[in-house]
Amino acid sequence: MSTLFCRNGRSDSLVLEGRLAGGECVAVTVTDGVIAALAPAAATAHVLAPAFVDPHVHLRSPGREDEETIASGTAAAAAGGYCAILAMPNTDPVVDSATVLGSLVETARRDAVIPTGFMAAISKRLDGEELTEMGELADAGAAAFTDDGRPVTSAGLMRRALQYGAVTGRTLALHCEEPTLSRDGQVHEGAVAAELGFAPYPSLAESAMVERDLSLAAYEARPLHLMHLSAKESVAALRHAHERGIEATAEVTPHHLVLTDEAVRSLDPNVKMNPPLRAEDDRQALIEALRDGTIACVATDHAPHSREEKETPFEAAPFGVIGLETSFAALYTHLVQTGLVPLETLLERMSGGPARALGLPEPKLEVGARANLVLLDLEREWTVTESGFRSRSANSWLLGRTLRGAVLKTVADGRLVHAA
Amino acid sequence: MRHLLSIADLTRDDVERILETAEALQDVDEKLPALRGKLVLSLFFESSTRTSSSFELAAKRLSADVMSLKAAGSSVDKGESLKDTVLTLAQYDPQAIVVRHPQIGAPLLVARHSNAAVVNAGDGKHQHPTQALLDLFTMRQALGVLDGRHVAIVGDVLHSRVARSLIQALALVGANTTLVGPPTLLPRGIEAMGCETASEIGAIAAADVVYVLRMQRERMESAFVPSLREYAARWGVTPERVRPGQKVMHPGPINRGVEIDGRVADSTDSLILEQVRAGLAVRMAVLHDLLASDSPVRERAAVA
Repeated sequence: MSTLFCRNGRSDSLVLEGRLAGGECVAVTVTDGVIAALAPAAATAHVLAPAFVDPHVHLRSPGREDEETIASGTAAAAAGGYCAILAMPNTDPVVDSATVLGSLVETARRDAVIPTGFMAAISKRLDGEELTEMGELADAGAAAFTDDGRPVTSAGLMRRALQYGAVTGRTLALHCEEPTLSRDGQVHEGAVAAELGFAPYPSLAESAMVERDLSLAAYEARPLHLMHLSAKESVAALRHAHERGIEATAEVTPHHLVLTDEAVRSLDPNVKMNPPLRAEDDRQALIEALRDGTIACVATDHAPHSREEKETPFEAAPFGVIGLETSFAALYTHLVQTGLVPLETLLERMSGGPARALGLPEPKLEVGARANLVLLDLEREWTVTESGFRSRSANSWLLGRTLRGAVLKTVADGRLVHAA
Repeated sequence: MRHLLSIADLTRDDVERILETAEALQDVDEKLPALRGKLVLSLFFESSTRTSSSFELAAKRLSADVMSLKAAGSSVDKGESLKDTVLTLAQYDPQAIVVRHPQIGAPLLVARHSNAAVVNAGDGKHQHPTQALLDLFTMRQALGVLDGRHVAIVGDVLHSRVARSLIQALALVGANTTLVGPPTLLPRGIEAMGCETASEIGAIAAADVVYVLRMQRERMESAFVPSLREYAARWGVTPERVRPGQKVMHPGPINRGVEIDGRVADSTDSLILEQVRAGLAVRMAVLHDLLASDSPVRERAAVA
């Protein structure tokens, strides 16, 4: 059964003209939601590409609808060029039963602007003690399993999840953090945390868990997906695992690709995330891994928080930032324009890469495919402002910054869902 | 100077100016009119004896009106956010807000939500800039020029805002700093602040000043050190470990017999009580610098 859910509606018929990443300009005719024809077109500055897929979004529903809803979060995703997103289960209540999942699916069928999948928890209440009813959850439409926000601390339970998870045919997505090493940590362990006095959160807290989980995956010969990698040691472990034939995919966030722990000197609660921003050599390792495909996915880890929660001293603020509406522009500005990553690579890592990693339909720009397209203006400059978001929250690390590259149109599953 | 949030925001000139002002103010035994009609708000969200009392007295010596609030018994107890507390109190138009808070970044938040000059009186493990300034003042009184002098800071650097501010302040005036303590309490990467680290207590031998940090009982619970007994045995500053003429300082309150032997604390080389006295002069100087830098420092009450 499908694992993506969207509100009902008529498929659209339209024509989009743009330049493909390869260089040629085409007119794409979409008829009743399907790409019916690709024809040569006059030169245009706009870029046309398969729409984006975000494997890591917090929609905060149920429980914190003041911060985000399925309607607002998917509208934000549509504005960011996304045709599919996966929502995390660390809600209140946790998505750990078919009942909770069922009500989300029902809401998505009514409210979701773009196809939306829901990950279910690996452990009941995310407490790392007992497995959820993974079989029933998969049958009810769970897109994948994760305890995101928390690690699966017990190696024994992680092994059981890998073994038992096989019956679901779904991916396990892991938040890698060894809690006795990260304990109370807020900022990457290094010169900045030492100087500012923050409890340190060492890279080792992530990479030690990455190595443990890769060892378990190798032993059980099961695939897994590593979420929001931040440390160069984690990248090295993943590379080594790939050499040994372990089926592991991984994602990286725009903020870890653009910022380092130096940003924390501002004491701005909008640069506080888990995992924390790390050092420049970590950032370089992440960029290199994104470029060579070791890390195949960009994931926003879109984490809305209310203004009240973030208008506190840095130390009291919750972890997390939003990202759906700024991801392309942030990465185009800071990775493509700077010559670090080719545009074509960025587009692939935001679309096909995550789709394949999580077993979702891959957006393709070819005749006969469902239309999942994004039209981009690479010349447009815009400034990120608090009032500009479709998201219900505005906790962006980019507030006040000027970015280059804008999403003009998004077509998701055959429907025009965003037109700037 | 608009605020005093961190030593990192200061230049050497700022430090020199404040210390000179403090020197001019140190033996004033009458009230000066410099801050007459100005309101200094003292907001302490964490317990404090010497810092809160010395700020209050400093403001009063400069003729300011002083309003003091402590977290306990205030609306903070009722769940009011820091922002709302500040917005509320800002309606009294204070010219300065002195704030101590257990969380890093709180003084910055206060500065963002009021028009007052904000003085950080300690935020979490981040900064305690007036402590560092009074420590420099004390050292200068005892040693003269600090350029090229050597200070050993001993103990729990990891959890110490005093140490962080002092390392930066010493670097600004050209002194050398060595941090000495158990490896678990010396933060990884701290050398980037321009200091050296050592885990053997013998490393204090060459220092002109031994600056002892308070060792807190809570640190035992997180296994930073196995016991206070072992800490005292290995890193306690005892008479055997210091030489005559080597100055000893401590931000207080001291734990006699733990980080510092009572005989050292009470010796003639101890500057611990001088530090307290310096605190008053330096805090007067800081308030004067923020609120009345255009008026002469020692304008007399009778003349005004």
